Amino acid sequence: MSAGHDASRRRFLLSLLLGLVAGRTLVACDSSTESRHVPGQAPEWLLKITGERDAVVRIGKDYLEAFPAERNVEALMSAIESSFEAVNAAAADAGEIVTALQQAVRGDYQRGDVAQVNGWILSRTEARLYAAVALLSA
Amino acid sequence: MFTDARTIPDHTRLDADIAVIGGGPAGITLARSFAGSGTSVCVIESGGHEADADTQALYEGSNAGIEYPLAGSRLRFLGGSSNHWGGYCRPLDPIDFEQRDWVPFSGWPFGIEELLPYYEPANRIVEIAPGRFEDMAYWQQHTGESLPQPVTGRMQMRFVHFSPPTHFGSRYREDLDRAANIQVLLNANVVNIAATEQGRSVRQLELRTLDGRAHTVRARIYVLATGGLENPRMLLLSNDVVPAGLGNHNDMVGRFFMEHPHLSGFGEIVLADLKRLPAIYRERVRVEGRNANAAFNPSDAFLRERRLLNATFMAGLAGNYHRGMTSDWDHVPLHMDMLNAARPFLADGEGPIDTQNPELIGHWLGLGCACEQVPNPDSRVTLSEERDALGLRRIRLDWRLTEQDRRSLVEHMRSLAMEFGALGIGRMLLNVEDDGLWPEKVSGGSHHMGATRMHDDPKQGVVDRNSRVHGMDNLFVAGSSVFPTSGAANPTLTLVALTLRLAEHLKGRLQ
Repeated sequence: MSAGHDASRRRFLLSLLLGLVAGRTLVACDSSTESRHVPGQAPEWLLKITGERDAVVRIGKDYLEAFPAERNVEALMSAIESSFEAVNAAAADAGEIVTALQQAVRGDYQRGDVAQVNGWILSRTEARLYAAVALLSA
Repeated sequence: MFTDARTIPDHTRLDADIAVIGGGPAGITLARSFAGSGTSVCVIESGGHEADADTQALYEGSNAGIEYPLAGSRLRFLGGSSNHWGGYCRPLDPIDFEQRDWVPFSGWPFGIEELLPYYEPANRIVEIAPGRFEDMAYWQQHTGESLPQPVTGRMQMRFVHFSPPTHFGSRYREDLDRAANIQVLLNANVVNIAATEQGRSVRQLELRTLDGRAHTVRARIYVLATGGLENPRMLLLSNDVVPAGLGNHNDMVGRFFMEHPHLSGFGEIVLADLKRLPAIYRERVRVEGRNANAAFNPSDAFLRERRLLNATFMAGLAGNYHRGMTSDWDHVPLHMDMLNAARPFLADGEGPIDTQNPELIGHWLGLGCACEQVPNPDSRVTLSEERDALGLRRIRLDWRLTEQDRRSLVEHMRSLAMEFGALGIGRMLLNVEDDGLWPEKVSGGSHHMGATRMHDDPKQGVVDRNSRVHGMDNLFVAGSSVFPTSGAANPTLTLVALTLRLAEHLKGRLQ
């Protein structure tokens, strides 16, 4: 996999998260900038991989409170990317990434790679997704 | 036949081949094993056919450890505590019988293979036969649902069967009445198991009624079957020859009391789509005339790898969530946030989870657990200085739990959370702080085990592998008080199986 491909996917992920923060409308707008690297896939990914934004943000903030060292979007993004790459290193479009992330989250639970967040036992990848959204909406 | 001890002449002496002290599940099972045989059996039951407040009050006592309902957790009339039994049935697991180097004082004198021949007849006695405790294919076929298998390697599925429940007193009353060789003496309290001068045999049982009559029973064999708390108390009370109490030369009687620690509200699971959790995983399902419910148990491999104690978890649907719902319970917003955030992980598609109920966002499950505790010599039954209406010292219980017990439970809770996550079914909220303390709300399951434990070495147990009290040739103990370890299965089925085994042993001995 090329460095250019990695960078493109990282920008894509970041754009999706930025879109998540603003909601569906922004996702559509956002596709005109960063997400043009994967045209037309961002809204689908966004709707599939995380749920209702306010709830996501609240849980994400709880995670960051419990793990303040992770209060860094780039680091979180990198960790998320590593998670789904471990499932599907070739995932490039939104659908593939969503599928890989869903598998990665299940895999976290299966391996015991979990964090306790305000009482919830959460997949580390899942919790980081929520945390990234929380940081971007601050 | 039944005889009311208050209606026979004072100082009556009764004779039988076997005297059974206690008319609960163990006592009745033992007696019925001899029905129609040439062996005469006398069952001595403290109560009558119905509950009576004065008799029940004989169970009162005091606590030195974890607060425990000594009178409320058992019943003292024919049928014993089966009269308030919940009916949960599952055999112990093979690992429960093993000597595990990480579980102090673990190990039965035999493996589960010794009990297997007795479990199936025990299933019939508690009216759950045939047992399908591990048969995933059977339940899948008969429920018509695909049953997901655990994937973390931490848990395994087992199936708890529910007895109607069998109330032994009423269910088997007719059998006892009809059997010409069985006499059930009601309203008769054993106040002393009188030993011979050397204390090596039981000479007779001394009985009192609450209205002051005194009787005696003599037999070739005596079986103490008064329940997991009363068995050690009776041995300790019978101290006219052996001052420490019968079978207590090595200070073992009463020690190692075990319960299955239960925690209510230790956690909740939210799930979006009920279709991901088959009905038998969240409620009792009726198949071929009996009810069953799936249970989540730690796998043997995980127990060995992490050096943990056994446990059983069961889940039940507790409530539904709809958009905009509010509640005074502070967990409701937490549950709803998780359902809303994790929706893409917990349900398929993007539309309503239930098209007939578009505002539905999910459900929550309540959880129940029953956990093994480490056999602990300091968790014990002794006698208090207070006396009951018969002038006997009351029971004093010092139930204790250890850090090892707590750590094990917390680890299993986390495993359950991981299993639900790995299967894409739900998310679990843990309400137990991992702070090194047992939550104050810990309780028992009315499972009284271990205080007359079985061990081949008299210095490590009260009874031998045949349930005979060490050092005595004609006194046996039946019931869960002989369990060396508790496992995480409700004890009734196993104590019935053990009693059937004891009956067979006694038949051989009486020949």
